[in-house]
Amino acid sequence: MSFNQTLGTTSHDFIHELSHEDRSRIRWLMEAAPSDASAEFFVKKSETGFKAILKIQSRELRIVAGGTAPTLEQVIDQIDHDTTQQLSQWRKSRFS
Amino acid sequence: MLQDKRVSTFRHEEFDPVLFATEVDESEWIFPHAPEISLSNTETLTSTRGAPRLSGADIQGADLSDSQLVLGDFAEAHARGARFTGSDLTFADFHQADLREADLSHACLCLADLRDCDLRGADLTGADLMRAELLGSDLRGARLAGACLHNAELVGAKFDEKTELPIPYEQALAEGMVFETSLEVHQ
Repeated sequence: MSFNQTLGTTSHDFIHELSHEDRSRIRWLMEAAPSDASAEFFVKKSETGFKAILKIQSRELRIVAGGTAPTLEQVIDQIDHDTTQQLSQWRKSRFS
Repeated sequence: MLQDKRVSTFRHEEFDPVLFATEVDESEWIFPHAPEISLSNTETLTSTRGAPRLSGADIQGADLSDSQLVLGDFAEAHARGARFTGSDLTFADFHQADLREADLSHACLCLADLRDCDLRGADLTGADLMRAELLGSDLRGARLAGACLHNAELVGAKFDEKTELPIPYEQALAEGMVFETSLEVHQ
């Protein structure tokens, strides 16, 4: 799933700033997608904090989850929550 | 200093989505936070890395079509007539931007912040506005045929008889949109 590509290779410091747990959580979020889905994670850091989105798309599903927070951990929490909700709604509509 | 920068078209440029504001060498940015820099009509711009930060910039008439502009910062930008057709503007910030007559057709604007934007006469045909924030935006005379407004926030967004909406009039009102008598777009 283009995990490394999405994180980019231009900023050495950003890679170091991601904790092992952050990277594991991002990977977990992306791997929550259905097997035939593609997933992209984009993150930006500014003076006020982090802003990130997770896009998951397949033939049957489209999820766009975003978050803005002072820390990357909080942003991932927001996206995790948002993604979980959207996946839950998708599964309900799929089987209803 | 900035006037010495070479510029080339944004079209088809891929932006590295990871950006550190405090660490990026600003000489790699053509127009970083420089509202006085004009891109109107004769100039185009490029960037080699990072999400574009054009907050407050004058990009009237600029061509940013078919570009990867995820997480881009265009808050309060002067983007009248700018072209974003086909671009990925997911989670981009256009808060209070002037987007009159801009071409955003077939652009992806999922989660984009379009609050209080002036979108009069803008072309949003086929745009993906899923979960976009359009609160208080001015959509009078805008074209949204075929646009996706799934879970978009529309409270206070203005429209008129010339607006081409992808949803029925009654649904627009039910979602909090406001019908207003049209004014001249060129006003």
